[in-house]
Amino acid sequence: MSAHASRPLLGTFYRYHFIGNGAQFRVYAIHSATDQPTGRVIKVPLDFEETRHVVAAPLSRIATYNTVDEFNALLDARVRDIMRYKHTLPALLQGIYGQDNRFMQNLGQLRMLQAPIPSDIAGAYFLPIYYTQDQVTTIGRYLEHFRFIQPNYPNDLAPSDIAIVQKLVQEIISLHYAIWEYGFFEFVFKPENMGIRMRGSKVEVIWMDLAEHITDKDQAEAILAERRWQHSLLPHKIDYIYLPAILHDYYIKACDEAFTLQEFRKRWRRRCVVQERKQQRRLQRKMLFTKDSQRRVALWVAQQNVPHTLYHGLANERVDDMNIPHKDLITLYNDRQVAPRSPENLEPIERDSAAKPATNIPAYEQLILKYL
Amino acid sequence: MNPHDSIFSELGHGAQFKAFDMHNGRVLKIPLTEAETTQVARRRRNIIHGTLEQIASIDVRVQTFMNSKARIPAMITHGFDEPQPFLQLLGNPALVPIDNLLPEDTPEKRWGAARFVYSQDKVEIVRGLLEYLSAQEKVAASDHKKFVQLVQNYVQHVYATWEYGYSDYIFKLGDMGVRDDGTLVTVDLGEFSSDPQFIERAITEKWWYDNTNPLKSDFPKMHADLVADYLQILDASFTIAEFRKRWRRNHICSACTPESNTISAFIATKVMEIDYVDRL
Repeated sequence: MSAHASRPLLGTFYRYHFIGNGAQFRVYAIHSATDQPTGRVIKVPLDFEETRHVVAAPLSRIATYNTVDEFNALLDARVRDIMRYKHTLPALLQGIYGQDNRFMQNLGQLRMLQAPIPSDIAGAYFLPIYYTQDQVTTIGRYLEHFRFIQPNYPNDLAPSDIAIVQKLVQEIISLHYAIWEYGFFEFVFKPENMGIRMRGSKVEVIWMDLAEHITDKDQAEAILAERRWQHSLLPHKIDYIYLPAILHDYYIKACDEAFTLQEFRKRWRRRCVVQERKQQRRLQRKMLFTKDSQRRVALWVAQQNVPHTLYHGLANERVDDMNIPHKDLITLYNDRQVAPRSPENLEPIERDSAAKPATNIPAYEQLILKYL
Repeated sequence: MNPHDSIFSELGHGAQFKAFDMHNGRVLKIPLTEAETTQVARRRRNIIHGTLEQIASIDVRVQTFMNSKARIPAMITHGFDEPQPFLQLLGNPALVPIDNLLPEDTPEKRWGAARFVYSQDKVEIVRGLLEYLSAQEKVAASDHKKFVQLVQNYVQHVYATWEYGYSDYIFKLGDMGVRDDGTLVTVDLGEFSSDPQFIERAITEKWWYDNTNPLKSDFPKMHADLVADYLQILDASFTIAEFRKRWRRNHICSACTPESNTISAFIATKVMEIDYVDRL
C-alpha cells in the first residue's frame, strides 16, 4: 500500500485522512471532529475501473503479452480476480471466526459497516462493502528504517533494532500459523499485507490486507512448494515489496524453516476441528437428555450440520458501531484519491540498486559518463 | 446497532435462488438469472461444452427451473382463511417488497417471470446429515433409528401439504429443513404443484427414487444401509389412495370461488403447469 498525506475529508462527525491505497481498498484514518485519531481506519472498496487503473502499470511490467488487446484481456482477468477475492472477506468475520477475539485481534478487529455502496452508483461491483480496522503502521513503512544498511556493516543497527526485526519476522510467521489453524491460507506471502503495532517492546503483527486468501488445502500445499516468500527478496518481483537487504538472510532462513508441509499439515484447520468437536459433543449431551423423540432428531440433524453451521452468522460485534453517516460513506466513495509515489520512499531505490549488476566504476564517474 | 440491517452472508444456492443469512433467524432468497441457472444445470449434468442435444436438454431444464419458481408468490399468498399452519410448513415464507430493484431483463441478465425476493425461516438442512451419513462406512444403529424417524416425520409433513392442496413433486429429502423442535420445513418452494393429476403421476412413477439414484448428482447421496427403509416407508405412504384421501382436505379459503373450482381453475392450473416440458 502506498502512503500519502493530504488534507482530510470533512465528514459529519469525523475527519478522514487519506493514508493510501492498494488494489482493493482506499484507506483513511478516522479522526474525531477535533482531529484526534480514533485508532481506526476505514477501508473504502475500489470499483472495477479504479482497480484496473491501479493494477495496469505494475502488470504491464511483469506480464507477457504481444498486443494491447491481449494486455487488456489479462488486465481485466486480473481485476476480476481481485474483486472476487475481496468478495470473500465477510467469511472471515462469520461464525466461530468472528467470535474468537484472539483471531479478530490478528485481523485488527476488522468490522463491516452496515451500509454497502448503493447499487445505483455506477461502477459498484460485487456488492462492495466498507470495513473498519485498527490503525497500524504498514510493514513497508516500518522497514524504511532498515534501508541501505549493508549486511557487511551490521553495526549500523542497534541491538534493540536487531531484536525487534527478528521478533517481527517471527510474528509474521506466527500470524500465518494462526490463520492456517482456522483454515485460511494467505497465498501471496507478502509482508506488506501485514501491519505492525508496537506496544512497548512488544511487536504485534496484524493481517491488514486480508483479501488474498484461499481455503483449499491442496491448493495451499501446492503454493507452499513454490516458496513465494522468496519474492520479497527478488528485485524484479515488482508486485512485492523489496525487503531491506540486511533482513534477507534472516527472513529467508526463518521462512524456509517455518513454512514447511509438515508445519502446515500439523496446523491446518486445527482450531476448526476442535470447535466442531466441542459443538458436536454439546449437541450430543443435549440429545442424551432430551426425551422428545422429534426434538432428538432435530438435535441429531444439527449435530451433523455443525461443519456447515459453525461458520455462519454474524455477531453484533463484527458490525461497526462508529455510526459513520451514510453521507460520509458516499463522500469517501467518490473521493477516488490515489496515492502518488512518495519521494521519501527508499524501497524503489534499494530495489533498483539490487537489480543492477555490480560495477567497479565509482559513483561520481558513473554520473559523468551518464552526462557524456 | 441492528445487525439485521448489515450485509447478509451467502449460505449457498440451488438452481433457482441464492440464499443469504439475514442474521435474525431468517434467510433471504434472491432469484438466479437465467444465465446463472444454466450454469447450475450444466454443472449438475457435468456438461460444459455439450453436444447440441445435450444443450437443448439443458435449455428445457432451465425453463422448468425458471417457470416453476414463478409460482411461489401465488402459493404463499393464497387466500387461506387460516394461512399460518400452511405457511409454517413452508418456513413462514414472506415476499420482500423490492419495488424495482431487479432491473429490466436484458439478453445477458434475465429473471423472466420470477421477479421476486422472499424470506424464510432459517433451519438446519437435512442435506448435511445425508452427506455425513453417506461418508460413513456403516451407519450406526442409533443413527439408523433416528433416520427412520426423520423419514416418518417427512411423510407426515408431505401429507400435511397435500391437505392444503399443494405438493412438492421432487421429493428431495436433502432440501428439507428441521426446526429446533423437530418439525420439518420445506425449504425449496420452487418445485411445488397444485395440479392433482401431475402429482398423481409423480406418485405413480415414484419420483422419490431419485434420492437413491447415484446418477442424480443434484440429490445428496443416501447411504446404502438406509435405502431399503427409506423406500419401504415412502412406497407404503405415498400411494394414490393416501393422496386422494388427503388432497385439499384443509384447503379452506375465500380465493377459490365455485366457478374457479371448475372450468377456470382447470384452465388456470393447466396453463400454470405447462412448463413441465422436461417431464413430459
